[in-house]
Amino acid sequence: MRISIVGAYGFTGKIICEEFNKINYSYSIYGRNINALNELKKGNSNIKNSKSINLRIIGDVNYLIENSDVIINCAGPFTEESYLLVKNVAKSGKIYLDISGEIGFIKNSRDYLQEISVKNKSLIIHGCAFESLVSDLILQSLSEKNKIKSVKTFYKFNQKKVSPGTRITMKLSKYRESFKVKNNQWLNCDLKKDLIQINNGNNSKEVAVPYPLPEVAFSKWNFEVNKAESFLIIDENDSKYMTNRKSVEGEALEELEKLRLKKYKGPELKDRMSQKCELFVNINQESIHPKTLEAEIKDTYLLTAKAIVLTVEKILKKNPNLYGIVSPGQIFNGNPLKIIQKLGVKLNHQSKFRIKN
Amino acid sequence: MKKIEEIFEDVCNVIENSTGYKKEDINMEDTLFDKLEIDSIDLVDILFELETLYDIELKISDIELKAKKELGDVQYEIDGVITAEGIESLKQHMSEINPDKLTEGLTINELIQLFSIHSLCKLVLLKLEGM
Repeated sequence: MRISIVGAYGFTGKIICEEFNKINYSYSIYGRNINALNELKKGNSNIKNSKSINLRIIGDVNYLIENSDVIINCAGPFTEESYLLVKNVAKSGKIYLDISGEIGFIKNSRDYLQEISVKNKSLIIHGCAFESLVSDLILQSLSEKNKIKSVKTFYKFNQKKVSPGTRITMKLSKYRESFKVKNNQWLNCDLKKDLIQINNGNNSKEVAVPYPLPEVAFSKWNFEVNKAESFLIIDENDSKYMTNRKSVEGEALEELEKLRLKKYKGPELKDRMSQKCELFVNINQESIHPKTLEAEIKDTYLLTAKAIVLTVEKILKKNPNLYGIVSPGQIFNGNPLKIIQKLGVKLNHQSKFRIKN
Repeated sequence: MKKIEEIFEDVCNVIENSTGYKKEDINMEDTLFDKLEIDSIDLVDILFELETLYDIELKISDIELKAKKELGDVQYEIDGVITAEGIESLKQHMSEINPDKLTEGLTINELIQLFSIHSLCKLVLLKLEGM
């Protein structure tokens, strides 16, 4: 199997490479910056090939697909860069994974490419990253007994430093539509109207602001939920600075080019090691009382890298016979809790987290 | 205790590292959002770096904290619009902002556009003083 990592020299890409090195997998690396590719390849015998490509150029996209069996895409922002790749993977019968947290990109992929990817036996897994995989696995596990009616996920980070890719994606989010599911239909979020008052089991004044993540789409696809929303928990006072989307999408590419020149720095190893994310999954199921599960995630970048490696291993060792645009949790259908444990995520079924009415 | 001029130097270094904006081009009175084109995502990163540098905790809303605190039980804002009392308190405690811009009907979202490098330096100083 020829594994290709696109954006391998990026912040998360490098950590994914390290995880593949640990288990002695061979792979090829791709990206736009030839110097960064050469630097990464130096002295690394696991890297078989490297090539500079631009995902906006069809010839480069075709070269990548022809020379890969499994493509791991870490080259965000995905909305601006990766639709051409996914569109062509859908026709190819190949396997594709990405770490996208961009719900609009993922929604479009399923809306327009599901049929063609199933027909061509292509497997496309979006959002194979900490923010959506863990909640998807929790939901996979809970859905085994009772049908899921609605779900809200809440994220709280103890640290503000993010990777350069995440920072660019967050800055470009002002150009994008944000989504929630209501009555099993897609609706746009409103930062003010959809804000939720919460009690996080501590005395701090915090609120949950809409922050649409891929699990909203996964919940709609996998469980046909009536309602699905995701939120970021922030200080109540800071939430007042937030505004709804104002810009038009065409301006995003122009801003992206400017942002790429800035060379942002991501968190250092010591910052990553002290990073903690609390995930609260509030779930309403048939025949049982609503409840909230709490997951503690440390070093979200390492978790993402481990999730990618586990997913690739699972696909290669045991062909899941799954085609189309799927959620990462679907790959682990049957033992989702074991994977949560393998990823080092602590689950608490007795959360003090409450949504205030 | 650090002087505001020393904090200004640190703030300039942090902004250059975080956003690539040249520190030589940064002035005390420059507004963060308009002049330096810093947005709230950049500001979060800048605050993180300042927190690490000084071992303090900083939030965006802390910039207007002193003006809010001064009011006690009197409302500072209603539905995102700063009250007349809030405007008066801002004039006193955020004297670095041009008072002509602190007018009735000002929203919290509009206020953030007026925050300057000086506001940021004052915030660090206040936190170092243990506010």
